[in-house]
Amino acid sequence: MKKKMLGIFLCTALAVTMAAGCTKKNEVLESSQAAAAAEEGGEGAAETTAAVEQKEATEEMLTEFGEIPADVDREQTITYAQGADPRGLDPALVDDGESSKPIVQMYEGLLQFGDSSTEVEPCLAESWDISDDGLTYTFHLRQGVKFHDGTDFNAEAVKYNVDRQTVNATADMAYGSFVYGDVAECNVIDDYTVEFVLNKAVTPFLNNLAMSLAAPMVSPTACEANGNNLNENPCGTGPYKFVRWDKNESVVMERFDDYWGEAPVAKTIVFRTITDNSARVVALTNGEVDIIDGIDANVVDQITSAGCKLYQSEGMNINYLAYNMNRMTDPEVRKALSEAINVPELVASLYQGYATEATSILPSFMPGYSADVKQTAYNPEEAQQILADKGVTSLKLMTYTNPRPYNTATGQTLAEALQGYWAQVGVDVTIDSYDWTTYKERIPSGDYDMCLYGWIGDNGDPDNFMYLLAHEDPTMNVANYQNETYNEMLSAAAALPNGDERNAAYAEMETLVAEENVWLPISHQQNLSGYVSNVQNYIAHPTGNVYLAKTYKN
Amino acid sequence: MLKYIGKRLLMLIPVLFGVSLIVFFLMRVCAPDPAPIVLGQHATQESMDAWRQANGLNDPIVVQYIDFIKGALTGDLGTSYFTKAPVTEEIMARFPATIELALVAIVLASLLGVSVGVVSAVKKNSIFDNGGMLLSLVGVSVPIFWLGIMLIILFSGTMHLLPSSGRIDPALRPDTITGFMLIDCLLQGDMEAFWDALRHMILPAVTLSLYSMAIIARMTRSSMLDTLKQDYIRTAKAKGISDGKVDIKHALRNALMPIVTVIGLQLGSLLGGAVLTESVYSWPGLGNYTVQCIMKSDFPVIQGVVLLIAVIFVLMNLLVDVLYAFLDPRIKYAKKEV
Repeated sequence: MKKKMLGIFLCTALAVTMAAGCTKKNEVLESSQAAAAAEEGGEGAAETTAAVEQKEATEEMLTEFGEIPADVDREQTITYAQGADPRGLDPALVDDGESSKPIVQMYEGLLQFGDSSTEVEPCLAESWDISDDGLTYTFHLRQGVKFHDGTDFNAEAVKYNVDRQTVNATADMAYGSFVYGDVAECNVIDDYTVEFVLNKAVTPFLNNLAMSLAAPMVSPTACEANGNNLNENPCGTGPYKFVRWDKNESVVMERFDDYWGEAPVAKTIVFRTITDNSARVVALTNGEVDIIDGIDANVVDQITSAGCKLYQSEGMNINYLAYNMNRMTDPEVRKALSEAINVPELVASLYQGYATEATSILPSFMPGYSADVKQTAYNPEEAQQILADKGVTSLKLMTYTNPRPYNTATGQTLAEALQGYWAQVGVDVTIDSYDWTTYKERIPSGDYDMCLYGWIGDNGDPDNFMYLLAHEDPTMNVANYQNETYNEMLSAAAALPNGDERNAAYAEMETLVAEENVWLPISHQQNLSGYVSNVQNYIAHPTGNVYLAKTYKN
Repeated sequence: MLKYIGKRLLMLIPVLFGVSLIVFFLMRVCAPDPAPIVLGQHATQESMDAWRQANGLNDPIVVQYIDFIKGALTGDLGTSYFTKAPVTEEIMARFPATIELALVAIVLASLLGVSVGVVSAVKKNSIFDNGGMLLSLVGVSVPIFWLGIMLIILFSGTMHLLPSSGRIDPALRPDTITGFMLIDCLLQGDMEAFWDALRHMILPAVTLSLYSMAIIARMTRSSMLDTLKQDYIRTAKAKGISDGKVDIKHALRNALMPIVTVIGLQLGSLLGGAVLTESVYSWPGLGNYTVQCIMKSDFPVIQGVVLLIAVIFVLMNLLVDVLYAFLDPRIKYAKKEV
């Protein structure tokens, strides 16, 4: 009898477990079927596109910080959860996004980006003059600014920061050479005027000064006192000052009362580290944290069905296919291969509405973007004809197996989708895939006809994307594109002052590489973050940073 | 006894040597090259080569190993590739969280495991026995990460009863005195923080203890069954001593040896960092940190952590052996009485 009871109990338990397992499996199956149908251009595609449009229509994302109501609670705490611990909190010594987010609350640079653009605005420098030859930049500094340790911010402090990462640079300064690489000297003119002399005229220098890495000003006193390393003792001029950092747990900061600008709203900001993606979502829906990032399309429903909101904005990145110009020398073949790919359909089905189709290398919010740039249009009949005429039947595509910030679907999945399109025009493509680090090591071998790659913008300047195609190193210029005309256009554009003429120069370069079919731009991954519905005035900046001084809960 | 302990401690040297050799070579042969990970998307062939050179990764592997051993002998385990902080500092910052969770989990597992085991053995083949053994079967078979996620979804996601991650609400966090959150809260008399820390502890501790509990319960049951068959138990019962007293005082005491061994070894493995539990609950301990370092090929940290785990294991084994002498008067490690 006892055994019978136990048997019944075990069978029931097994049945329940299997049922639960099947539900999950069915869901997975349904979504993969939808993706497959979308790829074939069937009903699934229509549904996916409809879902995308619906999502786009739901809500307009905030692009400018609004007024703060007078009766707002100024004692509140805002908790932001991210997927990894910061590497450190010294802007000169780190290069990761997880460090960058707490850093921008505590530090400021001479310039800053717009609320949701990469246009530069005054910050610690109130204004600046550029000499006619573009070699001398003179900054007029804001007066009465103090670092968190009480040190005055002045021209000497600026010089200290620049020298720290140029003449006195150490090997562990990750972004120093990127930001200040073209600076020949930094001179103090008077207490509140500082002059930068550059080696060559480079307009991106202004954008560099608004970056969250290397460019933010640290207190010289604090830096000296802490052995030239502020990773654990951050000290800047920002709206929040450092309180404590418990490793792998949280960084806590509180309002800096002597802040020069408008007083920040929340009294305390906490950056928590929650490594597991699904645990981070539960922490949001459970009310443990107010804002989370690093979410993917799979958890969006979970977030919205719990009454939380989604911030969705185009990211500063590009996900692309590159043709190896050393092997794919025939421009007609490259064109035909691009013609075989239905990019809009591919992007809609692979990224479920959380990546934007790339019509150009530059994302649409960046200066230099032009809607007039046209990529090779989908035309499978012509593609098939050309490829048959040229006798192209088999090719090798190299890719990576991991998800990347610009391609959350993984390089492998993208490669398989592309392989499907090429099979339809009679080209048999072999996929060679490696984990990301091995992949990066294999790239210089050049043993591929095509490869998948991507780029995350650093400073919001078009040069930062377009210089990849002129780079000498094959791990950066994976297409091995060498074109003197292009290189000349690039250096000329870099020296032009910001404005229409410069923007037009980049559009012209985009058109040149689009016509030559060097890359096939695929998508711009969106920045996704989720937040509790009472969070107001929240913007996720295209650079991936968040500026929380004006964000509040009501 | 002291001589015995000394001898056992000397054994640490070959063990650590072997472990360091294995982990060192395994990392360099199997793990991905750290250079492209450290340098990020700006990594060029030139910069990666320079970085490898600066970090000694271009040297022959034997030279690298000798350098590592030289450093380790002076207590210098190197610096993390990513945070550039000394490895010992990085480990010590996270170790208290792991110890605290492991201790709470092992106490929970021992109390429950021994109780279930004793009841199962005494009431053999009853509904309690079957129920208890089913529970321990589940405990051994359920994947920890799955259990963790299910508990989070149930208690945090659906019922909103318990927090899903972290050690304490950062706003309530007490000053660090010992590094053990519960103790720090009590020392500072902050009961609100103490309860909050305890609430944060429940899900990870239950998840972590389930497997150990199952093992302990099974071991207790079989060891108790063996003991209960002994003649002296029958004699004790014949003398008219109550069942309860016989079970606890005569049977359990004598059945304790293998149980203590299991508890000791379980504690050893929990202290080495409960990798899955810590990752699921974002517990800021050594296990969670090690996983992140493995993902990023942070060689010096991984080597340091593995050495630490080896030391803990050896010491826990030693502790268990020493405990034997107290539990069983027949065991002596020094032959004074001969």
